[in-house]
Amino acid sequence: MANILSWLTFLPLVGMAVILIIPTRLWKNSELVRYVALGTTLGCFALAAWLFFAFDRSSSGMQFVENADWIPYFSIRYTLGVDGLSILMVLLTQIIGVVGVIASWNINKAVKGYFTLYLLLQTGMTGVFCALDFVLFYVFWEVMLLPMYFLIGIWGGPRKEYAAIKFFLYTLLGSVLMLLAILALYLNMQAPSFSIIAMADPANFRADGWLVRNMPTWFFDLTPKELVWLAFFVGFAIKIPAFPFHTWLPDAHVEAPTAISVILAGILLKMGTYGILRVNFPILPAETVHFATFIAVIAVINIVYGALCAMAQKDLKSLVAYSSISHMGYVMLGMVSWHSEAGLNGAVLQMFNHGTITAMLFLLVGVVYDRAHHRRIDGFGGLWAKVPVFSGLFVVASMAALGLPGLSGFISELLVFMGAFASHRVFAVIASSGIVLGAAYLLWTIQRVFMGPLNPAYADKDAMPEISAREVASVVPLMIIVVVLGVYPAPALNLIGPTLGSLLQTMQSAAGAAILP
Amino acid sequence: MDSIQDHIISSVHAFAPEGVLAATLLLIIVADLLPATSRPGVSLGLALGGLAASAAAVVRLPAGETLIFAGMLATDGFAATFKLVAAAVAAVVLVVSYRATDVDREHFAEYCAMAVALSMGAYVMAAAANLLSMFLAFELVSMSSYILTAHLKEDSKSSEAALKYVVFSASSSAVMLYGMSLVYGLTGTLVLQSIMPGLAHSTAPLAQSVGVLFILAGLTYKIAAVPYHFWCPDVYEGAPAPVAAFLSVGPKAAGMAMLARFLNEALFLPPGSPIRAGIDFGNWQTAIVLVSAVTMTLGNLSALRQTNVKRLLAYSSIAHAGYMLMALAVIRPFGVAAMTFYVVAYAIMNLGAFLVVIALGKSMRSEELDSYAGLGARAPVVAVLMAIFLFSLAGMPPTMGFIGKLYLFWAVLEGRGLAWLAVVAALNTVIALYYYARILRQMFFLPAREGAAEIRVEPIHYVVLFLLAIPTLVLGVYWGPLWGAISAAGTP
Amino acid sequence: MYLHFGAVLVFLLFSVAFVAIIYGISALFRPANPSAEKLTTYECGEIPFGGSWIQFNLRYYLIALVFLIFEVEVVFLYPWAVVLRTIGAFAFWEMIVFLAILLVGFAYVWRKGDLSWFTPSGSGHTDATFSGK
Repeated sequence: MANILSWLTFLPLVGMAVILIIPTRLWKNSELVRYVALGTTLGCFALAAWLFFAFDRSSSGMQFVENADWIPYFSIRYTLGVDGLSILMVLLTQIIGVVGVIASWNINKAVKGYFTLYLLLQTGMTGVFCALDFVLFYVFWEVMLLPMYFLIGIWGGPRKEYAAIKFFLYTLLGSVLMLLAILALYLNMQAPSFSIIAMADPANFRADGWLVRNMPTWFFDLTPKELVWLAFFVGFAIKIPAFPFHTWLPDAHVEAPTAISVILAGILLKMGTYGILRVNFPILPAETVHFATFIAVIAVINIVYGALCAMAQKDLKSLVAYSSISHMGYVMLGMVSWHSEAGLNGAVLQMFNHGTITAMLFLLVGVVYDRAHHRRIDGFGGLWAKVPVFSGLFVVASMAALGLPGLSGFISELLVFMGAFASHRVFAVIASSGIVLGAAYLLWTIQRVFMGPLNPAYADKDAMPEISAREVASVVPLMIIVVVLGVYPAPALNLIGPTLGSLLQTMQSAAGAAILP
Repeated sequence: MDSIQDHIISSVHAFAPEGVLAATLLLIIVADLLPATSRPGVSLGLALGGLAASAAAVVRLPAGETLIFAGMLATDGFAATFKLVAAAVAAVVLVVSYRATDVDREHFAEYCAMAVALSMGAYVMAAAANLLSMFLAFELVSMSSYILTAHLKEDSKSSEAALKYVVFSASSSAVMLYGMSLVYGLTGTLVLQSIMPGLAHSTAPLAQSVGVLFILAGLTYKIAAVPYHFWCPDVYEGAPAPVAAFLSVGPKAAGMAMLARFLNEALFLPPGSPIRAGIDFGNWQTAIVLVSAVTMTLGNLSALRQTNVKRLLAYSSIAHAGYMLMALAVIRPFGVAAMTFYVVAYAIMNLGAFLVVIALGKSMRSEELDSYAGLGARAPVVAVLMAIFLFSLAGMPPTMGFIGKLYLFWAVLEGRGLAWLAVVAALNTVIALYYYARILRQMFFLPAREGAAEIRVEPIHYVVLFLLAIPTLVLGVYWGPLWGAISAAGTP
Repeated sequence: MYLHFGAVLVFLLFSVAFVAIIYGISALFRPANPSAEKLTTYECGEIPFGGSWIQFNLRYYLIALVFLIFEVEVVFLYPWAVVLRTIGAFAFWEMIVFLAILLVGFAYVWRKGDLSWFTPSGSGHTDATFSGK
């Protein structure tokens, strides 16, 4: 199939155009708009499924590459491609895309606008994971920002405006720093090119490059390249979100509508770690080695601090949001564990698993919020008796989040810790407390929400209806993935293995003797 | 004697674009005097025809750098680019003004004539290669601007704005003229290209610095850069909205062109030049860099708390002057091309944002920020177009504004030791987003107020808005040809 | 360098000295008969009354502007007439263009009614006082 990645990226734009030309008056209840959105995301999912089977699992390089002139004056090219690192994220994006549409079915305010922006967001997200040219990458990166701002700001909760602008400003701050870093790299190239792949080859950089001559060296004793590394890192860390740039996340998550929280947690956070693995690691490996401990420290802070914050939350949704911060810490910790392949593999697998698991949790929180119109943990109690199916699903999702063996979260966290114990023993020990804390806040939540006597507010027959078929349909596909990968993770690990193997070699050769404890 | 006369006669040919505009101006007045043709439509048609004809004359001029009228004007590709921008801006403003509320239809002929005069001044500003022609063009633009600002004679705000404008403008013109006289006294020449060699032989560093600094100060007034930016918000707020749109783009673009030419020809010493003067470009680079950083920061910070959309856009235009100056600090070809590209982008997106204000003014009778509440539901098309222009002004892809910013950052990073300026500009982009988002917030996040007016937009305004929105988006995705044309046009 | 300005300085000193000397000589020879009438403002023989800080009719300024334009025209016409023969037809047509532009301005002022002292609309401001009564 030619140009599969372009199709995958821009199919949502086609769906968006269709939605825009549907006359609203003819379809008062907007069912058609929803079906078009669903059809589009299902189409994307089908393409992604084809991609999954056609992907060559033995190659570590880029596949399905599309390369065309875009702006020839400065060798800005339209380059798309996927390797083991990105294919998993592309798949995740399409899965979450479908789930998100199902979860948005009950959106009734300005349906047309909602799904238009939703599909634009889908294009931006897929584009970020496929783009191999920095300008293209940056354009997709920002394009994703715009619909997100409106989706939170228009369809969000009570403090939506604050949450939307906070998200927007934080992310833009990261982006503009990234833009400067991109230009700095470009100006350092032998031959003009914005290619992320070409920049990964040190031979393409000028020995007397611009960075060496121009950057100030007085800044905290950092070399120019380290400043560029930091600019990228801050840009990506805001997305992860890594401590101390995490404060936008609880606000955005809590205020966003359910489907958008799902996308935020499921995909947007992954862009941060994806960016670090795609840009910082291969292009600036020596600087990455220099900052490896720094990343590990931030990872540990994320894990422990995120878990402690989660424990203190009274709102169900912000609890899940803080648990995301904690779980993204594992990704960062695994990323910088280079003694064996376990660390990197665990990190990337954790990105995928966290995407599915947290998406489930947000979906289920959305379900309970639709019924109760509040999310206070202490405002429930004894729901198991009332809504057993919902409660069962929630417990399974929570178990996956706390890393119960047999579910996918366990595999990736295990791999991360296998890697981390070899490379950063002390940090790994501290980080393992995050597992305990995670179990604590999740089990405690389950106890308060589902166990004990039924809260009298929901004693009435109609007060808390059981989860509907549509809602089940949005959760179950994710749950199947979580269970399958928990038992048999090979399909995912085979995809990412070769690429991460070569990335690991890059890092090991850059680190040299430094990685030995 | 004969040779000078021949030279002047041969120069007339290259002066055709300005000549066409002058003829248009007279034609508009004559047509207005005849009862049969004294109608706004006729004035508009004549003005548009004249602008089109002069643009055609600009395009038809043979390429290559020539000095005409004994070195008064340069007709190079750089000037041609800015002339086309000026013509296009004037045409858009006039079309929009035809159906705008705050334009006096009884005196529309004068309005058109003054807009044409302003364009003519902008043409000459873009081409001026001599201190004298610089000043004349500068004054022509200023005079037309006053009259346009004061156009609503009955409206006291309009008159107040015009008076403020005159006072500020007169003082800055005086400062500039004094600077010019000092430079002339030291060098004995008014020709830009001879100033640097002339200064090289002078031994009065203080007088040199003061002279050049004063000229630069006058120029910063025209582009509304700090420290001569005070007039800008007051004038934009008081002036009729179409005039504010015009002033925020036309004179500013011309001012940037004149500044670029002045810096490039009068102050820039090419590396390895035998001339070693008491001053060289390096000193002025520092001045430009500082003005740029302060302008963008002050403009953006002041915009944060504005409650009037026109005032907000005024402060935003100050900030944009700062961005453009950033590229001028690295005067080399790439910096100039980046500045030119940004001017084109800025003209399109800023006109677009102002036109939304104009188009809505007809129904809302208000330019206050909170009257835009719920616009996303009241007038979705206009609100979405406004969002596009605002995102472009904020520099978000996939809009033209992003590409413009990309090139500006690029140019600055190429300059030596200016990475900090790029970082300042990047942080400013984030600040700017906040106040643009305040408009978005009113439009999309807040419900309409009780009794909010029903929005009706003139068809012609829709047409123009789309004509501006399409390039904003298209050139944000595929800008190669435009960049090619601009970089081929070269430097002053 | 500054010596170039020496000529200017000499010129300046000379002009000041010249005026001073002329006044000095006339002070020596003229009769001195001061009277109150001689200190009043000269108004073409009229006896001045009232203050001079009054609002003048705006129309005076318009007339003055139009007058000024044609004064400038004359300034250009004299040197043009001198060299017309040497330059020839080009100069002739150039002056025609110049005069035509001025005429358009004149026609504009005329047509817009700025030359008639009493406007047809009969608005009160046209006969506003100018003498301060």
